[in-house]
Formats: sequence, structure tokens, C-alpha cells
Amino acid sequence: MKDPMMNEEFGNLPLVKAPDSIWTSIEAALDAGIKPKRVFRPSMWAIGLAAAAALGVGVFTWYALRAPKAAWDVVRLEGTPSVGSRLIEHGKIELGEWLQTDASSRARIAVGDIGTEEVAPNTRLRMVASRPSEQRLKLAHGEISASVSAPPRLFFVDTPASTAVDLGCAYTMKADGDGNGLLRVTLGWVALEWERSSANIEHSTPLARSASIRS
Amino acid sequence: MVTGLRDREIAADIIESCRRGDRDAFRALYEAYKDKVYSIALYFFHGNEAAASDITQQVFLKMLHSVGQFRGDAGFSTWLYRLVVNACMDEARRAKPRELSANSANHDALTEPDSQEQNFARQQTARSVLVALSALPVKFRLPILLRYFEDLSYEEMAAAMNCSMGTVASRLNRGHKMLARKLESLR
Repeated sequence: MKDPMMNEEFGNLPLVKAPDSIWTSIEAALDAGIKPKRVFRPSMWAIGLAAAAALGVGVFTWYALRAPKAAWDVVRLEGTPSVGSRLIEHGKIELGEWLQTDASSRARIAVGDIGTEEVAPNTRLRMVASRPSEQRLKLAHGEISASVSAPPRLFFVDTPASTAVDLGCAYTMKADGDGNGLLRVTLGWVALEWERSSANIEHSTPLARSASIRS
Repeated sequence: MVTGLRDREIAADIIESCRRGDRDAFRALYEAYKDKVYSIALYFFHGNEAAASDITQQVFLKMLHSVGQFRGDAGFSTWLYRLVVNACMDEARRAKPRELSANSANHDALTEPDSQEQNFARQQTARSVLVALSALPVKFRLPILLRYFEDLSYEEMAAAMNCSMGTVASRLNRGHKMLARKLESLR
């Protein structure tokens, strides 16, 4: 049913007579054999199909071109170290994954091309960050021996109580689940940061310097 | 010449003759619908007479060339207005850059020559409606024109516009509200 108010309004609009010239033009077009313009008008199905295809291509392109997931190489040295639920012989640890060694296992991690970490038995650590400006792992408990050759403040090891910041060095870091830790620098310098404090630990021959931390 | 044919009086034999290329039959159909087709196009294109003439010519040429495809499932007028809707939409898309915009000169062309003498108030109202109509987005303008100039049912409009009856109802409803608001502000 039409809206009465609108009916009234539209009632004032006249039906306009088509000019005679239109028929003349039509006859001329017919005599000249002119056909109406053909306009490509895709159906809704075609539009939907094209949109789905475009989406598919987009997803495929994104999948194909996406940045490779950051990962470090892991090599088994002894026993049965695992990354996530996988036992490792030669493998990778990816961002967010945990590496675990039991009492008879050891492993070595290649941290990009800046150094290596030897992971002692009964250790659990996680890869936290891997970008050009920061390589970081979290040592939940256990022991690692790091040997790093990189610009200062590029490699970090977080423990429950502190963070060891590499300043160009080799060191051993121990941590237990209660927040106790021990840092032993065997070469160069390491900055040890905890709460709001920090200290630079220097290697001095013939004995290595060490610092213990307790949360 | 057959004139004054109404939608539902279009006889199957006229359409059949038109299919066979009978120009008299084609002329009969043209005469029956030309003013409505022209008016819809004229109001759709804000009173642009050249655009309306072009659309009317296109629609009837298209009708002649494709009348063979008319199966009679829907009414002839529904089928014809589908051609009108398509032609208007295509032209609106094509002409977008050069903007067939509303202006008072075009609206003047829509009023009857003697209407000033007859009723000034009526002319003013007509002008307001035209201005308001011109300001509506295309998808709301067309159903309103089909509804008020052609008195098409929702079902016929849905067939002409190639959409569902729900869409027609929704567009008409929203179009009415927009039109009412615009008319209110023009008064």
C-alpha cells in the first residue's frame, strides 16, 4: 500500500510526455541497423565467485610470502632433549617453544649467527624473541653456557630473578625455580640486571668472576 | 497506430508481432510506455532531458532486440521496467564522473508549461519533491519512482530490480523516511 502522504506529494509530479524526437531517433537507428549497446552486467553469483577467488588468491599470497617463523637450530649432544613434544636430533626451536633436557640429556642451540648455547641436563628454557635487535631466551631452571660474538646488548637471558645482558662474552648461567641464580663469566663482560639494579660482571684471569642472585 | 494501451492490456499477439519484427506492433508498445519510461528516466536523472531521451531510446531498442527472450513468466511491464532499471543504473554508473547533478534549471523542465497559471502552490510542491527525490541515493530513488509512477507491486518491483521483495520493502521504507525528512527541511 502506498503511503498516502507520499501519494499526495507525487500526485503533483506530472507524467512528462516523451519528445517526438525519440521515436525519430529510434527509427533512424532501426533503419541504420544500429543495435543497442551491450553492457556487461555480472550476476551476483559471478560477483560472489570473483570475490571468493580474490580472497583465495590473497590468502595464498599471504601464506606464500609471509615472513618465515623465527627459529634457532638445535642439536642433540647427549640423551633425549625435546622441543615441545618433539625429541630432537637435529631440529629447530621456534618462537615461544620450550626446550627441555632431562638428567641425562644435553643440547646445543645456535642463536642465529651470533653464538651458541650449550644446554646442560635438567634444564628448561624458552625462545622468547628473535629479531635483528634482540635475541632473547628465558631460562626457567637449569644451566646454560653461552658463547656470544655480537654487539653489546643484543643477546639476553631472562631467569626468574634477573636478566643477563651480553656485552661480548662467554658465561655460564644457572637458575633454579625458586629464583636463585649463579652467573659465571668466563670471557669478557656481562651486565646482570635485577629489579631496578644492574652490575657489570667482568671476567678476570685466572679466576672467573661470578655473581649470585637471589630473588 | 495503437495508443493508450495500459500495462495489462498488452495483448500477446502484439508482443508476438513485435518478435517477428513488425514495426507497427513495436510502435504500439512504444506509444503505450514511452511517457512512463521517459518520466522515470527524467526524474531519475534530475530532469536531464538529454539523458532521459537517451535512456528511453536505449530501452526501446533493447526491448525490440530482446523481446524474443520475453517468456511471459512475468508481466510485460515488469520485464520492460527491468530494462529501464538496468539502463538507468548503467548510465548512472557510467555518468558518475560527469555528475548528472540536480539543478534548478533541470527541475524547471519537469513542470508543465501551463502549471504556473493553474496552481503556483502545486508547482512549488512538485519542485520540492523533485529536489528531495534528486538528493536520494540511486538505490532508494528507483524503487520510489517505480512505486509512484508505475504503481508496481512489491513482487513486480523485485523482479524489475532483480532483488528480493524484502529488499524492495526495506529500500522503500528507508527511501520514504529520507524523502520525508528532506521534504520537511525544504518547507
